[in-house]
Amino acid sequence: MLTVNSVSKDFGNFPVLQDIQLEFSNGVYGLLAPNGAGKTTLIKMLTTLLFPTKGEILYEGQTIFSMGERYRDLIGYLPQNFGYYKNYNPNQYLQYLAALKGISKQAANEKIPQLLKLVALEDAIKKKMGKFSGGMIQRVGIAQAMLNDPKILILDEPTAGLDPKERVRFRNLLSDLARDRIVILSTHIVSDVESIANEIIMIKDKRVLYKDSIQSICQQLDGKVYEIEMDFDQVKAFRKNFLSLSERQDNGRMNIRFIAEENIRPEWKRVKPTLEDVFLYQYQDKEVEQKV
Amino acid sequence: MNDEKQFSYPDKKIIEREITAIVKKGKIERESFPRLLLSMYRQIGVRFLIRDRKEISIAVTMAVILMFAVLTSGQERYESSSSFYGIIMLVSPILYGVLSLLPFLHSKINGTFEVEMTCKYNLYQLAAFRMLIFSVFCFLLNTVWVLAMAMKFSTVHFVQAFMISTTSLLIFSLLFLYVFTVLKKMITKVAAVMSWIGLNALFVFIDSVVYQQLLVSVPWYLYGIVICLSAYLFLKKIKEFIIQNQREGAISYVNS
Repeated sequence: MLTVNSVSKDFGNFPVLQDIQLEFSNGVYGLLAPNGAGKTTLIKMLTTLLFPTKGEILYEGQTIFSMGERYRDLIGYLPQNFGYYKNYNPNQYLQYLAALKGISKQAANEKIPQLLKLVALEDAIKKKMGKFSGGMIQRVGIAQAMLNDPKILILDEPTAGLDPKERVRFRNLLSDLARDRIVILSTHIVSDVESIANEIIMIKDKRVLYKDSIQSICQQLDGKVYEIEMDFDQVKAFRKNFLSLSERQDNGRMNIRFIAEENIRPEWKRVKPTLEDVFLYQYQDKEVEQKV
Repeated sequence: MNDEKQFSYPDKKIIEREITAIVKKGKIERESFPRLLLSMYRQIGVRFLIRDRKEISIAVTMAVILMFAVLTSGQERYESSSSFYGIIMLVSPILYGVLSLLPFLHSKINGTFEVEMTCKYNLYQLAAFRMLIFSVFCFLLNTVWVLAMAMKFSTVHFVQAFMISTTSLLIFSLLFLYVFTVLKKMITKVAAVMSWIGLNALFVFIDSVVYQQLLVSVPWYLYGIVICLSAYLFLKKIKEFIIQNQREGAISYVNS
């Protein structure tokens, strides 16, 4: 069990996170918030890169900072900006990181080809990483995070640079992995976590807004999400009064998905809220918030 | 109550043996410093400890050329031997400084810091291990150099030159470690290290009499004390660097 106990983090006089209280057991956790909300700061504290200003982070009752290398031995981490050595091929880079992770050469020789196959890089094993595309680099990053078969897998924006096919493959991979470990996946892309996360953590105004299942989080918008069809020239006026979640053209008319909390009209079609609806609702601009 | 009475406890010896086994399993024994170094060496190996062989070879070659140039082009001044000591004080730690900076620079340039800091053996430990190896290597290289100087120039006394060279190397190594743990920004760290070398270079080039007099007038026993003290503090700091508890988190400690 990984516990974040009343953790706050300030950078100078600027508070980034306040009184964060979280518990993680085996499963996938989607850390969902817009850019700049403090996701990466939280991730960096969970990986011992940053020390909290207040509070403590515990693994099985021990502070992770006092555990030192014993804790680092348990984690796999993919940072938001994954760095690499351009003159290394993926095999050399993974061999290097395997050595730092305390994996024996023999075990690394067995594990690395398996992981490269898993991330579909087996054909590029001898190609210098300096010639890799962004997606290929990201896949090496995912492979290195799994090298030591970590008990806690922490991934910061892991799908950046992956094409849709790779995203699906990556999600399936995470679902398999999460059976016997903690997987924390930080993202601002709702679809990355919607299908695989057991729980979603949303951060707003420096605090944890939700830590719950997708179903429970979506319940708060029950009866507030609607769809309506209208002519194009009506859309502008409609947007002034309601929070539009999505808009698509349909047979020469506009189909609008929106949120309304009062003055419900019978012609509006009530629909089931999604995580994306909640995300847009919670992180809407202040100006839009007043409309709702 | 009846159930309690019927429960058969194992005998005292078995209980004690089981308690000892449980405590032994739960108790975390930290590896001693030499053992940690040995396991790091076995685990990481020379291949990755000295990963940047090309850059290391260039730095060593340049240092050897510099030392050789001083040796072959130096003009003996019989009225004063002190300028050689100034040069020895200046040159001795340069190679160590360059070699020790390399892993931090590589990590900064390639953006690998975060991944390397979250591994079991992190970048600090790797860098500290290298510092230990390079301090021994630089000590040996400097000793050979001052020996050659003493053999070529009659005004250079080997023991004095050896003391100055070793003192310079150790004080610089210590300064380097403190700079890296106290100063936050990479640029201030590099500036602090460069200013120490720059100051010494300035004294040599302006041929400062006070500086040269200071180097030759310090008694050997005082050099000895400084060497022992700095060697002790250097090893203590290296140990702390390798087995540090990261009170501030890795980023604020080294690479912010």
